[in-house]
Amino acid sequence: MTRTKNIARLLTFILVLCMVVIPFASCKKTQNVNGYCTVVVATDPVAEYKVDLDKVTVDNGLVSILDYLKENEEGFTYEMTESTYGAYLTKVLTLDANAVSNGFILLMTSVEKDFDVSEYKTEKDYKGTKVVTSGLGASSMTIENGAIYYIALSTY
Amino acid sequence: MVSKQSVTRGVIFRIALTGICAALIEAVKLALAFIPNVEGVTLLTALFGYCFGWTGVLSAVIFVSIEPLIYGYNTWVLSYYLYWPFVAFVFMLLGKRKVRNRVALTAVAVLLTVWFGVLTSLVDVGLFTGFLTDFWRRFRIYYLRGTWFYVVQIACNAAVFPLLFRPLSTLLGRLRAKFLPEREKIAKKELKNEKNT
Repeated sequence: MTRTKNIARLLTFILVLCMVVIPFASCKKTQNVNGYCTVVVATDPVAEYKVDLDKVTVDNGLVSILDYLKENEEGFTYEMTESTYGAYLTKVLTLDANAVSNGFILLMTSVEKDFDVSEYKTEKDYKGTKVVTSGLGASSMTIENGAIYYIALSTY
Repeated sequence: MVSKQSVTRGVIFRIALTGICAALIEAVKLALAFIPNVEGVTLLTALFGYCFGWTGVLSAVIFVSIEPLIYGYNTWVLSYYLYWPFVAFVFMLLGKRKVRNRVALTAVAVLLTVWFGVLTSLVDVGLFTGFLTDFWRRFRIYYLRGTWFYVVQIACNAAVFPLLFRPLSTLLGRLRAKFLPEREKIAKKELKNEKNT
């Protein structure tokens, strides 16, 4: 009986611990990344930025990279709206989702674990690297050394 | 032979019970919604199937039918229809076989929770839409993306089931015996009453 009670106490403790810790685990996570990544914006002509990840605190996915570019690259601008699901990009440089009917900012990535796996994905080859539409929002995207992030304007 | 009155009363109780069970599951889901993947739906669905049989299974179906009214329609609706009534059904079978062992019940719950992650990934990746190109590679990417969430859900159920399932099933069993006695017992009671009168 004592053994059963102790097991019950232990399980209750684990359960309460899970319930307390898990909300924090779902908060923004800082990714410790070193190296360089490339951000490509499909303007005319195409704008390409190489980002030194050692200088960026990546705690909000691709949005952290865009914030860094906004602060350090002259002329780089972007706009977004925040929602419970994360950031929703509405404008990057001259790509403006509100300027076209049914427009949206398309995010593509070379990081395989972020690929969109649905039948609606788009693939593209950028300088020999395959980029695929992201299955995650800008705030949740994985930032990796050597990755390419391709930003375009699309319509649905 | 059980009287019509008793049968009618039993049916009315079961209808009411189905609604109450479905509402309870929904309430617990909403109450814990702010904690990602910590849920009491598996526990309650299993309990209701275990204790109330087909009534519990039906309450799971009703719960799943309510969900799109709150959250809208998407691929997860199909996953839910395939999964939650199945949980209730499996535990209904365990209830009929009078399985009481904590470890066995928890093991079944954990296996079902693992299956939930696999099933939802299979459905979301396109198993039922016919989009099968490069299916297993896409499934691997999608499934691994949700690993953290599956681990949390499995850990939650692995802790909750040994703790709560047996005492709650005992409680619900007593309620069932009081409000939904088996037909044989009703028949015996009515026969006894007839003899006395």
